[in-house]
Amino acid sequence: MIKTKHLKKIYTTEEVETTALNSINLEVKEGEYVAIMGPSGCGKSTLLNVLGMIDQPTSGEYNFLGEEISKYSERQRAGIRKNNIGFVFQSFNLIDELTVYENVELPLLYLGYSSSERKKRVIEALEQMAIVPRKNHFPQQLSGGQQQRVAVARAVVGHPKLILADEPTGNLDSAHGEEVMKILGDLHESGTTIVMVTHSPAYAEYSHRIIHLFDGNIVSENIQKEFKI
Amino acid sequence: MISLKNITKYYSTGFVKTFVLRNINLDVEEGEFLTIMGPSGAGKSTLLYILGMLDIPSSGEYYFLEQKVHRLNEKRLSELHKNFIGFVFQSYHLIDDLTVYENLETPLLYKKIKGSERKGRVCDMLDRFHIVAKKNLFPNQLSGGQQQKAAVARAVITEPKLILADEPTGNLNTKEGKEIMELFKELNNSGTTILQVTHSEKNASYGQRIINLLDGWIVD
Repeated sequence: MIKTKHLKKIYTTEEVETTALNSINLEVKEGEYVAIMGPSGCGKSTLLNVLGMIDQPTSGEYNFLGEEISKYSERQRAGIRKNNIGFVFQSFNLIDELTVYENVELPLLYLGYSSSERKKRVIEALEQMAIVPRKNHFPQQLSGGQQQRVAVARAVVGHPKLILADEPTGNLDSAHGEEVMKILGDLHESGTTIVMVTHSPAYAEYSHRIIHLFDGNIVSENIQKEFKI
Repeated sequence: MISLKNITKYYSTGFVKTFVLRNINLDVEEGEFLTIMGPSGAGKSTLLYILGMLDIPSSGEYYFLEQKVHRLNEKRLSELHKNFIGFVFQSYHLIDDLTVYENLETPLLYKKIKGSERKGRVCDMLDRFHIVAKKNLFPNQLSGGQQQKAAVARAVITEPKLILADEPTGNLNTKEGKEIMELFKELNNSGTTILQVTHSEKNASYGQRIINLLDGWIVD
């Protein structure tokens, strides 16, 4: 599903150049569950953003579902992203002006589903995350755990092939953290590919494979369990 | 526009009632720019959330544009909130996988506004907030100040009558903070009512009136 070759990302500010990703060669197969670990500032989030096509690599190749996308225009990448990728962020990323229902519905508006199909899918996702009774609330009226469940519902409502999760439990207490990890585990069971950035060794154990990043390089890889297609 | 009468808010734990707001009486006229100040824990944010209908008082009456807010059900509250109120928070709450343009457009998608008008409004906001050049970028490609500008732009794109701002410059440096305050000033000059919570005397000086809260009471 994902194959990168010599992926490099350099940030340039006035005088300094910072190498966020040095030369990343990474392969993720469809149906895999991969965890990315490493100290703060080692390039984990940058890698996830580049894989999610919300940041552009400085150089290198990125093959996604058989298409070489590094040369694609923003519009082409947006099309691929919206149809295939769901995001879960540490800070939930909900729109305060919209209700829970509308927040979850949002990706479907961009995919052009009919209103009846949208309704069906939104309710299905809200049910899956057990937040139906909250559907008319605004994000600020919910607890952190509930907000993250809404965010996961939004990430999965378009039935993406790939979920990218950046510290999905970072703002949650352990009980709510467990809950979100269980939800990601269920999604993986049902066939979704997951790439997750985490600081928590315990949560990384949920994956097939742990990749360790340091100073913009992959320094080691641990196979957790055998991955069979 | 707003009239609060004897608004009280408390939380019950076991047999103990912890009061956050006590006997709040407050009137706000349309077009005012009002600042709520006070130490941490004084009840400022709770008051703002009650005004924004995101929280419900334990007792008292709240009138908003002649409507008895304290009598309304959840659905009506949610409608009032959506149609008249824009909320700006200290943290930005942008969606990281949508561009700046798309982030701004989202509240309009739910307002039955047609495509060409949506485009016009988004472009107008980008222009007013000096972020036209950023419209195709993602939030993580912007500075903190630019992200907050985008967040404020999104909060006001539906032209709310009332803006509630909870420490809107709390995460910004002095220059970025000043820019946001100037934008609020402009919005106020064009008729928008603004209520802000802040610790900063400087930010308070942009408004016309200051309310001080202490231990849940309004004090002089």
